[in-house]
Order: sequence, then C-alpha cells, then structure tokens
Amino acid sequence: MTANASGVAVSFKKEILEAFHNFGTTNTRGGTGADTFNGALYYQNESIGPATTAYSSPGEVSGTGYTAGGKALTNGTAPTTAGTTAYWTPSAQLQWTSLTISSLFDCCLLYNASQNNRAVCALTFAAQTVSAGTFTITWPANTSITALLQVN
Amino acid sequence: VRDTPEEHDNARILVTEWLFDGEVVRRDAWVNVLRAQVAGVESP
Repeated sequence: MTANASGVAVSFKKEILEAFHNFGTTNTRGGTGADTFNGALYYQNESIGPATTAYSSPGEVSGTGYTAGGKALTNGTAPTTAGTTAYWTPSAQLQWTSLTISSLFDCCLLYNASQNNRAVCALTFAAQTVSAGTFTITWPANTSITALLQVN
Repeated sequence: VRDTPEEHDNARILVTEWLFDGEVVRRDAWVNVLRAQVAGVESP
C-alpha cells in the first residue's frame, strides 16, 4: 500500500487549460468549442504585463503588414501532462511578413480571442523595429520543462 | 546582408539587415522565446 498524499491533481492542472472546471457561481464561458488564441505586439513602455486582463488596442503596434489584434496562434497540440506539470505550447511559429514597424516594440500579448479577448500571458524581448521584412516568434520545445505555458 | 545575434535571459534574437549604399532597406527580427510562463508552484 502507498500512503495518501495531499496535492492538486495533475489532471486538474491539465483540465484548467481545457476549461473543464468553473468555480464561479454562474456559467461565464461562451461557446463550446476550442478557443482561438492570438498574439498581439506592443510598443515598448506600454505597461503590458501580468496585470493585463485583456487585449486592448492602445499601445499596440501599427504599420504596414500588421492588423490590429495581431495573429492567431497555431494550436495543433492539446495540453498534456508529465510528472506534476500540465503544459501547452503553440504548435507553430508566429510570423508577420512584409512588415514595417518603425518604432521600437518589445512585447507580445497572448490572449483568448474567443473569450472576450482575455489575457493569457505577456512575453517581452529586447526592443525591435522591422522594416519591409519578417518578424518571427518561435516557441520553446513543448516539454514539461520548457513548454511556453506551464501549470505546476 | 548583416546578421546580428543577441542573447538575453528570456529570448534569443537574430536581426538580419539588408544594406544598399549604406542604408538599411530591409530589417528582419527573429525572436526565439526561451522562458516558460509558469502558473503556480507545487506545495511541498
């Protein structure tokens, strides 16, 4: 026999990423299918971060080749678990081509475009400009150690 | 063409610039995210 142990169920962590659980008193979730997640770019010093609750356009980059709201993430791999970690990573890079952003930008906000644009996470990087070129974000490997989004 | 790699704690960046007569006519940036976004810490 094995001793009992307290702890958050690993399956629950994965199910958080799959929207199985609702601790609220009402059904606040719209829709029944998989959600679409977007990545939007922001100029530097726009206060985007963990306190950001939803996508909004102020501070978002603008320029040739960029549409407000950003681009949809490719979601070809469902959340999974390994050990005590649930994790998920977009399954393809996020890329803009023929892009010109003349002022420095340093942040990509990932948000749920299917659920009132609610924020998932903000990613910062060294500030960049792009001129008539390609801007690409690639993600870490989708493992329990390196995945982009982890619930531990 | 000029490549400029940058190493940061949360991302590796490669900037590629095309120059013509000393002017940058195209600038690409490639951001390789290195840091995971982690929610929660398992209690001991």
